[in-house]
Amino acid sequence: MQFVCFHLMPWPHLPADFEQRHESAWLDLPNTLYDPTRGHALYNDYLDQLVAAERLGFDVIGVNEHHQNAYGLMPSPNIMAASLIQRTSRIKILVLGNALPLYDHPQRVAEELAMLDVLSNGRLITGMVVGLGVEAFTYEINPTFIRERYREAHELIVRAWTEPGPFHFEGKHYDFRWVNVWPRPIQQPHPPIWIPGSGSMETIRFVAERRYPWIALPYSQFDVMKEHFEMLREYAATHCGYDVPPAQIGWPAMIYVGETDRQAREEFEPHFWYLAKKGLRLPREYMFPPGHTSVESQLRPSHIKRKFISLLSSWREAEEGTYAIVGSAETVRQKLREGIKAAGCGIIQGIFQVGSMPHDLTMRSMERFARDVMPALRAEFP
Amino acid sequence: MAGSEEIIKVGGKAIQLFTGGTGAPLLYLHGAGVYWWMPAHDLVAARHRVLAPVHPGFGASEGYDEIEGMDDLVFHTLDVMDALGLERANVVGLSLGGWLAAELALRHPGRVNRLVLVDAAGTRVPGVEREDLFMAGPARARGLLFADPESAVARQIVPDTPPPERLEAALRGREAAARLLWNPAGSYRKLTSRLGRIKAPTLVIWGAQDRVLPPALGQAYQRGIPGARLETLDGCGHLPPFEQPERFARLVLDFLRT
Repeated sequence: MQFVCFHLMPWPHLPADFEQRHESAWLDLPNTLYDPTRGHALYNDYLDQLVAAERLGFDVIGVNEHHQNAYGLMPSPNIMAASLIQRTSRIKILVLGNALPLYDHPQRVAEELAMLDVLSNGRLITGMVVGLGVEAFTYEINPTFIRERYREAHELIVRAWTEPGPFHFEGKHYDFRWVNVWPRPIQQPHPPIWIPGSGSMETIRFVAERRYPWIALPYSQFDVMKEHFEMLREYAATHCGYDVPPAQIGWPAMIYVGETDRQAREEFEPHFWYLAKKGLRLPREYMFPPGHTSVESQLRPSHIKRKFISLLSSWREAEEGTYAIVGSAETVRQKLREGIKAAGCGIIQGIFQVGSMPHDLTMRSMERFARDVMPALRAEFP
Repeated sequence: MAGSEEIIKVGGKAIQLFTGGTGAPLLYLHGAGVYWWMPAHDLVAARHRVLAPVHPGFGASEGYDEIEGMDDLVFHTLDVMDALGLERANVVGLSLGGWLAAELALRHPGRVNRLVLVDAAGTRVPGVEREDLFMAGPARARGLLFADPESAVARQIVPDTPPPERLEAALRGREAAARLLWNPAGSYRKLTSRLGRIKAPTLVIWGAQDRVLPPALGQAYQRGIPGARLETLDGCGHLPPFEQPERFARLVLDFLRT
């Protein structure tokens, strides 16, 4: 079992009347709501939390990429990874960005990730993501070409890391006569690639064919995620001729460990609703521009059945759908144990700081998790 | 009277085609949202043979993967005209179809007799913002598209939820529309400077309350195309053929008769 301490780095200071005044926390939310002075302190707190994860015994710390929003303040995850590399020595660093289709120069992504791999002496795990639908608006990328651009950029980057340069890459969207990445990555044949995905058939086929670890997206019912894992296993078995091992399946879970079940819920719940109702306030049309998710995937029952976290109306509903794992150490242990068995996963991508959760609360929950939950699960799921 | 519907083969692809009426041929090029026969088509078909092909990716028409931009749709439309035996035709285009009609007329002037552009996409005027239908849910889309968003026709064209049997086609149509209309700022800039090449007598019809493509964009067509006439319709939004079918049809029929 690999334990990831993952961070979204949200903006926690949206006003109480935000929902009444704004339709979205993304794309068109005025950036005057961001305060750089508070932002400076916030970055330091968030980085301190990830650095602490090394001391607490996590295997991986992770950052991600989102643009023009109050949900996550990391338009460039590579910059955060560079900072974390300097402050840690052993832990692996997962960059669950770069949103490849957004960039007209994927060579830049290949270069920066190779730099991080060399700088960290091979501690980098790279993600490669399609980007959320709303980010097609952000960078004015025609969403009907996003999947094609993703595949081409992925191929270009992997080839840039593994084939001697210079060579000519000839694609439909990218055509570069001089692909010759300096530096090259230190890990051979290339840094591990983990792919997050919302369960579209396109992504499931993509990861199954390449045996990449696949991390689900955390904001719908556990059962929907489980169905997607089953689809991955079935596709790999029937089309690719192998059984997907647990190490290839990642469960992203918001986790909060309190002293007691009751205290945990009291401490956690306000920040959960901040995330659900403010940070993830995102109109459907922003989330699903045409072409970003294929028509086939949109018509699939699991897509229709999915209830996005922002649509929840009660804590009971959140608990029944296992949107978050919250409770005393014993409760969290038990819920994770059941979930790991049901999901068949070998990666727990824990999200500890949620929404507006302050630093001290986050740290206490992480410490309880590291002391009272993680060792028992490691023993049970080696 | 209702248009008859058939599937024709164009370059090996199945293309859906609506036809109706008799008379001089009129090629109707549809917009991004309505690609079926409407009462406005009947009114125009009273004196013309109306041919309304469905663009690739919309409705039952194949060939979406071959359409990467407007150039491809222009070539495809020439193929459709060949398949229909139309050496020349009067061409009426709405919105996306208006942009297509303008490109057809300036690139292939020999194929277009008379040209009618209706709230056509394609022009660009610095400082004139276009509202983005891809960002709008159904209620907001009705408000952007129609002068009267509560009218029956507004609810028929933009229902709150598409009927289940039309859901897949609606999703595919949205994708086909986005491929061509997702902020094509570059194409728009060039088209505006090329309009002087259009030789066909041209009528520009525009809804005065069009918020998707404000009337300033219609004025750009009128200014750019030699001799073009602009008719602005009060109490009408982005879709004159559907919001004011009689008025639209009368303008088209009068213009084609002169």
